[in-house]
Amino acid sequence: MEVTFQGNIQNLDIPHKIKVKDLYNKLGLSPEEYLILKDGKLITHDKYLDPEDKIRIVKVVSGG
Amino acid sequence: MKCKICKEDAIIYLPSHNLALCEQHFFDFCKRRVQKAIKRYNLLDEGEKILVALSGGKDSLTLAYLLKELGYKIEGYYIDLGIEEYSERSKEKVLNFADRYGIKVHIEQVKELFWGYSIPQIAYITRRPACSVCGHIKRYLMNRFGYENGFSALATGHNLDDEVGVLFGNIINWKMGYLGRQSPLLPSTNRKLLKKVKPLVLCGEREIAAFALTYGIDYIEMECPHVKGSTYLYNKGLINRLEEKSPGSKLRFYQGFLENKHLFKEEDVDLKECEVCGYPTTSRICTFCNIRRKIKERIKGQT
Repeated sequence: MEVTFQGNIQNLDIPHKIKVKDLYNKLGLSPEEYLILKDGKLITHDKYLDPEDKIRIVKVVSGG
Repeated sequence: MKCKICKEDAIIYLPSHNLALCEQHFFDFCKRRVQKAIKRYNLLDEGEKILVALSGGKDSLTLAYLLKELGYKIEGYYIDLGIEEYSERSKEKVLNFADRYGIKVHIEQVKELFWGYSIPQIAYITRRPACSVCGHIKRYLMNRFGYENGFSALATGHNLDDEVGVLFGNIINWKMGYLGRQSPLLPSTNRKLLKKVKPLVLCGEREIAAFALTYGIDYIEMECPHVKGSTYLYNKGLINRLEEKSPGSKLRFYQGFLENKHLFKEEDVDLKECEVCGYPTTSRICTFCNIRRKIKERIKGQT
């Protein structure tokens, strides 16, 4: 799975379909602090992602 | 997950409201949250000339977008802090945004006002934390620009998470004066002080980022390099752990505080005019002019 985070692209080894909620857990990301987008659109936690999907992870917390 | 209103595919689930929404209804939701804050806390009047502080981040750009969408008369104001790559990139975001949405934006540069010195350099010379110097200079310049150009209100992009983070810090340290003053509305208490409003206080940080990403508001994702490792950010993390376990905690904490604000008395301050610039201050010379004086001394010492 191709993951873009803060402009950098990384490949993530995801062999099978994965629920968005489980991807948050696998990466240790807080759903309060990070958003996941697939093809530029937000995706809810009950949806599934394919190993070949391209996703973007965005951190939402800022220093004020 | 389906939108609770129209049953179309949802793009977001908001645990604190137990609400899943599609793209269109999420837009309406965010717009209503801003309208609600403006009405509930009596922030703005129709036709009022509002200066929106723009940093290039998700909050300030979304605020300007939504205020314009709600029909308010706004202009933007950006301060170039001279923090190298961060300032260059944030300025570009602000200019692109203003151009795209037809918003007039005013720009001031710290380096022009401080004889070529940037915020990190000013912090070093004055031996103050960068965030403290930056906050003082920004607040002073935003107010001065607004006052001298006939604006009646200054709107900033402080969101629910920002306010909860500050509130938590103020309670942990029992800063009674700050608690008395913390509010979505700071009325003008002097003819040279603009009214300050925070119309995003009922919108969470996650909602605002989701809004910006969904509606194509191109903001700077990069964080100011000076904010890393701050207690304030650490506190935000703690509060997010609580919110995950108990959704709605942030809203309950903040709204409960505002309902009980009478328990925290605002300190009476005796404002006088700064002997140098004439703007209101509690001391003989205001912090802004004091910082300028220190920089001037440094320049004199070098020549």
